[in-house]
Amino acid sequence: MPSTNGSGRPPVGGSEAAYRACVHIAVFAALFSLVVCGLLVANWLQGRARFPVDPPAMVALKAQLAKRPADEALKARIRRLDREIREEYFGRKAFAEGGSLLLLAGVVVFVAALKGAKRLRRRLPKPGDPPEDPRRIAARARVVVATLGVVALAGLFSLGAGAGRDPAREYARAVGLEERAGRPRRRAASARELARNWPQFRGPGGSGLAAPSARPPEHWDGTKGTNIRWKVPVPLPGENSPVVWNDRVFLSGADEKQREVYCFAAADGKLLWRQPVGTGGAGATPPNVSSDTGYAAPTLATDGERVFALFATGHLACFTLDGKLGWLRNLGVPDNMYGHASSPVLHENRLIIQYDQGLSAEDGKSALLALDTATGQTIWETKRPVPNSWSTPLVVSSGGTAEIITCANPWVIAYDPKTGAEKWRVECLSGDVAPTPIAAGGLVLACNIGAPLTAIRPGGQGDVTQSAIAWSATDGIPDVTSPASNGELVWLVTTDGLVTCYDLKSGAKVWEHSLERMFWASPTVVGDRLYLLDNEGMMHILATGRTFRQLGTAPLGESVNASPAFVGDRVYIRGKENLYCIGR
Amino acid sequence: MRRSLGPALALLALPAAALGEERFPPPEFSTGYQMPAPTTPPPRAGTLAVLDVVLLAVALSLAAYLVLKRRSRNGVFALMLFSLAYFGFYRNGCVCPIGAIQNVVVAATDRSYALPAVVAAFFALPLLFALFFGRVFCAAVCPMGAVQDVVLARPARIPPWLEHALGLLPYLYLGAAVLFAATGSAFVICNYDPFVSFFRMSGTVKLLSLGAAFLLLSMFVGRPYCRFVCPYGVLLRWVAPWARWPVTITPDTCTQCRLCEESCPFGAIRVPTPEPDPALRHEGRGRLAVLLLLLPVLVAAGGWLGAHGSGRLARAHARVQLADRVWIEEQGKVRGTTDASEAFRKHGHPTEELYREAAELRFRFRDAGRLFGAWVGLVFGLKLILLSIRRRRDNYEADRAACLACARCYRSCPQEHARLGLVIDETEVPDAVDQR
Amino acid sequence: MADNSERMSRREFLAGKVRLAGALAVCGGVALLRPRGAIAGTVWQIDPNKCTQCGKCATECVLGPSAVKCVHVHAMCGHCELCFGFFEAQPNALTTAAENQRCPTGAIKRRFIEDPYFEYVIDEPLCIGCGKCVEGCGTFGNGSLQLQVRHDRCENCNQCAIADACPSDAFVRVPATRPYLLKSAEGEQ
Repeated sequence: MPSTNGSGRPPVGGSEAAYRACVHIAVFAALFSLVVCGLLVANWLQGRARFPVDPPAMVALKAQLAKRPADEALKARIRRLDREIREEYFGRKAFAEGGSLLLLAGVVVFVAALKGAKRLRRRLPKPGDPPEDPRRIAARARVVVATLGVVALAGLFSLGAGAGRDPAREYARAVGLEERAGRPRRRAASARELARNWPQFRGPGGSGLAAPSARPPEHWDGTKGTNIRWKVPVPLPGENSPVVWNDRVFLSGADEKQREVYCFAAADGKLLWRQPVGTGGAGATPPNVSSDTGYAAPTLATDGERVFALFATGHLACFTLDGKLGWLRNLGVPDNMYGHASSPVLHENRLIIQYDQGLSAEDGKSALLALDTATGQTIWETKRPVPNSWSTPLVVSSGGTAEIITCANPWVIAYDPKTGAEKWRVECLSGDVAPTPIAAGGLVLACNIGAPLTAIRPGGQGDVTQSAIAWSATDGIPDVTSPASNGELVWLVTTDGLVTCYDLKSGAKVWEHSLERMFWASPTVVGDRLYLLDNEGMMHILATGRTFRQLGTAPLGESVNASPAFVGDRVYIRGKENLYCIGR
Repeated sequence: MRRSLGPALALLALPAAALGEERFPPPEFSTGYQMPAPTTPPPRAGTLAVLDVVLLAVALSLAAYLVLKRRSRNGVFALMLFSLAYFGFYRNGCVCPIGAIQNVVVAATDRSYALPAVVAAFFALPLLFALFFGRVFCAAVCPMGAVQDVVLARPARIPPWLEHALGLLPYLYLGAAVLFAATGSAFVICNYDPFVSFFRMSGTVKLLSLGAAFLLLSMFVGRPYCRFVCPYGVLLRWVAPWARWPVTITPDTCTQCRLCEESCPFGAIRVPTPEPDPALRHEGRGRLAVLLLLLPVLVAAGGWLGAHGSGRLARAHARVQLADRVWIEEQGKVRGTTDASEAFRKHGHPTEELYREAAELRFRFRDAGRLFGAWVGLVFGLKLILLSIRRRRDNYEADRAACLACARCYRSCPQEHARLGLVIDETEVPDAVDQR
Repeated sequence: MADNSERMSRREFLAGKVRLAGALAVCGGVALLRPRGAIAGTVWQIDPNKCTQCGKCATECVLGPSAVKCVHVHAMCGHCELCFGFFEAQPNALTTAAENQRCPTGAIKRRFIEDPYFEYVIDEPLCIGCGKCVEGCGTFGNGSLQLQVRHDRCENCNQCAIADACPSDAFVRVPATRPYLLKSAEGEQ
């Protein structure tokens, strides 16, 4: 019978010899593991000092070599050192790998021996003193828990101490997002959410640049159904382009009698709701529009809460994303010779509308309006010295201030979105201006056929025609489509299919290539691709490189005038009759 | 014209940011040289991920069978070794149900994040099993539990009052993990996982030393991570008390022999309550009433403090850090740049966009901080209330919420010996027999 | 005793309801979150457009030598004699001697093809993902050298340690079915 140990409980089972063996093995394994562990730590400590990327010794030697390029002895030293460092680095890696396996083995043996020893000295249970009164345990626990709770709350409090020096307060004020009565002014869609969606004409920034997360397919075929997720007919015609918010796609359609706004499910194309707009009152007598423009040319805009639709009759409607009418106005039937086409755009809680009218600037009918998105009331209205135009305004932000850029004959004019006051203007356009300006690389680019492509440095004051033009270029200027840029190059595509690529910094022409198709849809830059959609529905996919390279084409099988929307791995295209969702 | 000046000018004139442009057009080779294609080894196949889920389900079922039906500690131990080998060393500990909490939270708060089906299964399966069989996941499937259980040598008895207090830490950790996951700032559970670097046998010094510390501690304290840290354990604690087939120490009826009293190294065995003294029946009622009234106060105070401290919490988010940094750089309050602010400028995004995003994130953090603070208040308030409620217990029982179903206590019960047909040698266990 | 067993059965009845509710909550909650996408979900990858070659890939990865390595898209390569991915910015001579090489581990193998073109191949076991060659090639050349997460090595941690440290948000989760983000049409998977 084994000896009784100090606690007075007899161990059971196992021979003394086996027990001793186990203990010895455990001690040996523990020592072994400790030694290996020590070696590994030493290996790591030494290896850390000699990481092969730019070791100081090597940098110093290379600097010497730059001064004495013909010093052969120095070169030999560099080569020797290089070899040493590399051998050491990979040697240490191998050592660490082998060492950790040994360590693991040591620990396993240690644990196993310990378990064995414990089993051999298993003690039978012997109840000691009667269990403590639960009430006393609870009383003591209450004290400790209460103390811990006080400590935790004090920790939370100390987090908030010293928040006064927080730079966030300052920049939040600079972007107009300061806290008011402890609450954000409005539960606005976050910048990230805006960037992820396609909330207005020409995408999140309004410049025809898709979000970096967009990864549309490189190929589809509408005639065969390849990569076409769904296709649904759109009840009424319209030239406006799809806008997308999370799981919804919005369009409008109109003819001379009726106007409608549509919401489709992005998942399967189901028509979730359709709402008529303004069946009476002003605009009941439709204006004359060209058949190319139609009654529903302006693209919708959404802030993630509401969607806004403008029609050639001057009707402007606001719906919630669920299709409830928020407000409805008529801005007055626009005097526009082809039909109003400029799309509303959003800035913070303002809906910006470029409402240019009249055959001549002297008519004094043109204006820029900012409406409250919640109520539809005019926040400000600024008269514009221009005739009717078809270009969509662009909001650019730089250095904490925002500007609304507008294009019409002959002025590019920038306004303050807060007050509507004019900030600067450049005379560089002519004709019936349709292309929308873009912002890229800190420049604003405006163009229209009959005038050059002009790169303007924003942020000036007054008439800056003489000072703010970075460069201008005259080849391949479009009359319908807008430019696109990836921040390094700019692309133009004319109605007859001439694609011209300029360097954004210098304005130098990089290449040009004729696709020999008709284009009304504006180009879009998606990652390292340029997507060009021609009027027959063929998508031309080009590389955004400094040489022309066509990566492929993808037919839709239906003619198209609207610009596509790129969201996630999907592309939404509005054909003449149908709305398509393209995706793998 | 500019191009005719040749590559020399191009070298000088072009900014560093440009990538993927063809300054030097790829040549046409005349010697029939064949370019190698870049290799792109695929990630682990999806079918293997399905296999992981199947193995998880099988291991959970087996654990339930071994713990509840066979009542076999040896079986549980063997399964634990398998889980340690497969989910730990072979699969390197990713993805695990503990970390999956964060993926679930992100999926619930950020619509653009698609919850992978495998992660969803890892999150849900142990909870579903716990609904019916108790915490069998902890018993033998979780590799982190297994590694602590295997090295447990001489468990120290943690005083019950301390156990009560430390047992609150997982609730706070869960709250913090949800806060940071919901604001898209960090996966703290993964960042401070003490055992993953041990399973991989490589990792940062911080994590390796944390792992070593936990392993050493686990030799003397039964499963410290599971009891005092694990946030998934909190969810299991909520679910396990309702189990259809919970762990019972005795296979028959409890004779109150007290032999199992010290058999649980995790302090999960509850002793019978003494006969209530009719004279003390109303004792503590006033305290309970005060604590019940205190609960909403604690929640409100926590919420206020949490919102108050959210500015500091927000700085855990990389975008907020970046915005703070860019702002003080732009204001000239600090010299030099960081990698992040340089990268930001290189991409040419407007600073306003960044400020706006950061400001919005701070609003989000304030809401999240308020919830977190309220949670902290709620946890402490409820715990105090629970500590003031007396519950009657007639027998020795495994605490259903805390029991890790390790099957250690079974063998200490004489009824179990009887069930197994083992004869107790009276010469060897005189004390135990006397006691009865 | 009868009182006791009644209490037990009431408790069991309640527990049954709670179990049902709990099971529905867990399954329904997870189903509401719509687990979707590829079975294996997503993997980590570097967006070369955002990468600034800060060097953290070599030091932050949980693996010994990083799971990030340089990938050479040969189709984009200019095959220059003076390759700035291979050579220091001002090389002493256009030879493979150590003092001229940019790569700290000599992981780029240079081979003459035909006048004046050279082939550059990454010796992957030697590459530690520091991105020095990527920086050189991107600054002065075609950008054919790109850092990518190698999925034969990557553990696909739930939270990538390099992604945490990346200063330019270049680490993104991509579908496991398209695990690489190489620039150029030819190289893209």
